This record gives sequence, structure tokens and C-alpha cells, in this order.
Amino acid sequence: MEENIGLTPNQIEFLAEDTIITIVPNFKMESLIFLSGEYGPFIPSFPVKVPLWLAVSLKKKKKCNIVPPEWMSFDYLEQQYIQENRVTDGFVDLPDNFIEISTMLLSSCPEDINDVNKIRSLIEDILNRRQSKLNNSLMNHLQSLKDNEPISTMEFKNFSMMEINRVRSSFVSGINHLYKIQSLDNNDNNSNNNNNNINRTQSNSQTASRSIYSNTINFSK
Amino acid sequence: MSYLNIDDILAEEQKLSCKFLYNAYNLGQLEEGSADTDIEKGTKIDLPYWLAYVLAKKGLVSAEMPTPYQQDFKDKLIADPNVISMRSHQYYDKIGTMLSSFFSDRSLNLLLFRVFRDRFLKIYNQSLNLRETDITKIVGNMTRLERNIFENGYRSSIDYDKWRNRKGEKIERNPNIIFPVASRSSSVNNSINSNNINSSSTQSSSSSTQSSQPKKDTVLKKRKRIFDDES
Amino acid sequence: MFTKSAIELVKEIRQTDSIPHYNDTNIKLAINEINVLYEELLQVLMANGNEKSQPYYLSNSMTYFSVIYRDKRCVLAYLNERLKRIKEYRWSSGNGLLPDQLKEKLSQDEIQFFSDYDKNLTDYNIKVGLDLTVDPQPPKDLYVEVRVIKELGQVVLNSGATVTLNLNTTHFLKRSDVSNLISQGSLEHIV
Repeated sequence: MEENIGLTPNQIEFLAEDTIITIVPNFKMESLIFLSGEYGPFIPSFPVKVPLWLAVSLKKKKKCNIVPPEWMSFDYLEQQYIQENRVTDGFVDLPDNFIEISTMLLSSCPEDINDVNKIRSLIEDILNRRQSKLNNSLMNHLQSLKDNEPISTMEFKNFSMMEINRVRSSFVSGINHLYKIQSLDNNDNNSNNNNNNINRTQSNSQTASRSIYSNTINFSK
Repeated sequence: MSYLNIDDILAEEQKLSCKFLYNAYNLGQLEEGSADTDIEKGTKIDLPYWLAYVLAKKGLVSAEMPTPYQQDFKDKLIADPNVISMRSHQYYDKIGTMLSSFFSDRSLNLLLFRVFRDRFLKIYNQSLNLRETDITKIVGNMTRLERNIFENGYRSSIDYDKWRNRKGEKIERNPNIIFPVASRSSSVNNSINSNNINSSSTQSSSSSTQSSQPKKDTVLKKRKRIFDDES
Repeated sequence: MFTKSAIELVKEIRQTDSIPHYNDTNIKLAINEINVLYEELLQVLMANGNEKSQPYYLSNSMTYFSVIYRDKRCVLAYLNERLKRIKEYRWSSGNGLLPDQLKEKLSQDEIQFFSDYDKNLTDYNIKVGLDLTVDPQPPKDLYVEVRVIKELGQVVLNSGATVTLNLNTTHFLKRSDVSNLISQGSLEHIV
């Protein structure tokens, strides 16, 4: 009964914090040597690449400005939004850790982002659009499930960890129960020889096809 | 069915009306209010599923499908799966699948599939979208299984919103902890806990000041630890 | 009625998410039922050598047998669920002390279990050099600002620092020092 809840948004954010980003420091310091590599040296006004967590931490202490990634521009995001609306049967590929990075930057360094308000609402629009598309396709999938057909797998391309994580626990446990009802039915039909009904004749082809399908949903990126 | 699972055990308490096909030695106490020691052939008694199952498999009793799985209730349920309250049928789906295979009742299985699919659609949607609403009533009309699904979805959705609004960093009070307040003045050093790796344990007092009992059946259970070693 | 006290245990633990009072009475009743039925079962089987597989006796022995197993299963599930919650308490409180309110709800064996479990976890934490119960979520900052919402007076923190935590004062302290105090509700994290 205990369902795996997956990761929390904070944990996903933690993973995204290793993304390398450019900052412009306003202080002088020698290179920092970490397990993951060497960052620096830090010279005022000279851009340098650091992990996101370090960038945010320096920004908090007002030691640098963050250079947002190229995709955090109005033009790019507007294109994405148009695309997202145009594609009805799937999702548009977004940059890695799109949600995590944009959310962190919008809250930690809004003054370093051009058109920050426009960008903020565009991102909101994109995410809402994707969320409702996802919901619709999950709902359609559910509605299309037939009690006499094997539960088919669903595939989602270009979907991020954060987005999947939000719906996974409830959706998968529900589908699992449906699958359970169905496989019980299937076992009964196959094991019960007295019940020689029409399904019997199909049972070979049906079990064969059933083994291909599983009760898991494949989310892939 | 898992041996130690609380819900599995409770689901199997579902009563089935059973008819004894033979006289039975010294089982009089199964029959409420009966003074006889033996049970006579033909006596009808409500037995829990776990017992009915064993006796029926041996051909000692014949069991009837419980009322909620008979046509009347099934008709109501299938007419609009989302209207029926499952408050008094907490294990309808769980025991239902067992009953359908026990009675080899394929039609029940199909019904369970369709009902659960439709109810799940709604529950899934609600778990993602309901906010600032009193959910106790909604949750009260669900089966245990549905409720678990709802709580999972509701929790991950709230976590996500919190995170998006940058509230995820806040360390929250855990209402499940009843705890003696740490203070130096009355320090009781427990011998089993004299290390100081646990903050505050080194100077905990036994004179606790506060006793907030965890709320009964809180809808949002505390977050499961990700490193929980239990399955 | 058969299994009545055993199933009550299971219902009781399902009623709440916390740890209810250890129900010694019902456990003893259930175990007693097991022993009584076991004796009767043996007698029936021994006394009716050839007849025992006849429906008249078989109904009886199958029922007794199932009830015995049912009783056992209920009691074990009850005890198991309690141990799970006791362990969970150790993790979420981050602390090896049982408050009195909780202690009086546990059986002697459960109290022993808690302190053994605590000892294991603490030993492990010391060997690893890390308190695993702290920060199940990735921490953002090493230091956090907190407000005292329950008078604590002078407190020695984990890191060795001494600080006076008077009601309604705010402090900037090491996260690992105060996170347990926050989850206990003595301090409030100011974001």
C-alpha cells in the first residue's frame, strides 16, 4: 500500500543546482577548488562560470550579478510558447532543468534579467499550458481504457522531472489498481477451464500481447 | 494481499451470508444469541470473508455475494460512479476484486474496473486542483484506496506550489512531535543519549510543557521519509 | 465472538496516525483465545480419529484453525505497525528521548526497542560522522534566522555554542543547531 512518493521539489532543485552558469563577480578572489572542479579565479567585471548554487549564494551576499542563460530571453520564450500551443499531440522540448533554473533565477536575481516581468508571465503561461496538456492526455488515456483491453503504456516525450514528479504518485497508484483488477480477471479466465467462453479462443494472442504491455507509464525526456 | 497490511486485514472482515451445508460440531458461538453448541445443517450465518473463503473452498458452506455487490447497489453505482458515497464501504474496491475472483464473477470485475476508472478520474483531478477547500468531506466519501491516491496527489501538488512560491525552504514545525522543551535549568541527561550528536537531546527536560496530540486521521500525513526502510 | 479482541486492535491502530495506548488487555485476550482454541482443536482431532475428516468435525477444525491464524495475524500486524511508528518517531523527532506522554503509551518491550533502536542509529550516526535525521531536505543556507516562540532560557547547542533563547527574541543561528527545535515548535523559522 505504501506508495513511493518520489522526490520532493526541493530535492529536484538540489539536483539542478549543479548546472553551470555565468556570473560577473564584483570581488577579487583566487580559484575555489571543489570535488566537482575548479571555479575562478574571481576578478571584478570578468565573467566566470560557476555552479548555480554558488551563483545564488554569492548573489545573496551581493557579490555578483548572474548572467541568465540564453534561453531566458523574451524572444526565445515567446517562440516556445507559440510552439507549445501549436503542438497539440505532445510537448515541446525545453532546456534542461527549465523550471528549476528559471524559478530560482526569477526569485534570486530579478534585476539581472531583461524584461523580467514579461518573462515571468511567459514562463507561467508555458508551464500552465503544459500542465493542462498533460492533464488532458492523462485524462484521455484513462477515459479510453477499456475493461477488456490490456492497459497500454503511455509515453511522454520532452517532459521534465519536476512535471512528472507532480503527478506520478497519484496517477501511477491509480493505474496500478486498474491493472490489478484486470490481471485478476485475466487469470480467472485462463485458469478456469470450465469457463470456456469466447475469450478462451483469444487467450493466446491476448496473453502474448499483454506481456508486451506493462502497468508502468514511461515518461521520457 | 500482504500479511501485515492493516487495510488488507480490515478489508477481509467483509461479511458474507453463509449457509452451513452440514451439521457442525461445537460452532454454536458463531451464531449470535444462540445457546446451542452445534450448528445445524441449513443454518445461515454471516461470516467474515477470511472464514467464509476457507469453509466454502472445502464445500462446508455456501456463500452469498454481499449486498453491496448485488445488482441493486451495482446498478446505482454504475449509473453514476461519482455520486455514491463510499463512507460505509471503505474497502469496496479492495474486497471487491477478491470477491469477484472468489465467486468467479466476471461482471463484478468489469463493474469494478469501470467504477474505479471513473472515480479515479475525478479523484486525480481533484487532488491536483483543490486548494483552500475543506477536503475532509470529499475525502470522507472515498474508499481507503482512493483516499491514499488522493492524498499522494494532493501532497505532491501542494509541495510543488510551495516550491514555486519559494516557500519550500522554510523549516516547518512537525505537528507529530510531542516533545519536552529543551532547557538548561532542568537538565536530565538520559544515559542512553549522552552523546551530543542530537541537538537538544543533551539538555532536554522531562517536564514537558506542551502536549499537542497529533490530530486524528490528519488528511495530510507527515511526509514520508525518502529513506524509509519499510516497504 | 471469535477474533473480536484481535480485530479491535487492528481497528484501533487504523483510527489514528499517531501511536495509541498499548492495548495489553486485547493482546492477552487474543493470545488466550489462541491457546484455548488450540487445546480444543487438538482434542477434537485426537478424539475423533476416523471421523475427523467428516464435515461435522471438519467444519469445526477448519474454523478453529483459521481463527487461530487470524488472531495471530492481527496481533502481529498491530505490533508491527506500532514498531514502524516508533521508528518513525525517532527519525522525525531527531532525538533519543521519549517524552512522558509517549512513554506511557508504550509497552516495556517497546520502550526497550526504542532505546535499542536509538542506540543503533546514534552509533551509526557517530561512525558516519553525520546525523542522518537532520535535513532530510537539502538545506539552502548554513545559517537561518529564527524567532523564539517558546521560552527556552539558556541553551547549549549542538555545536557547543551557548545561547539565551528568550521568548520573542530573534537569532541568527546555525541551521543544524536549530532545525530540531523548529520542528518541535520551540522556534519559528523566519524566511
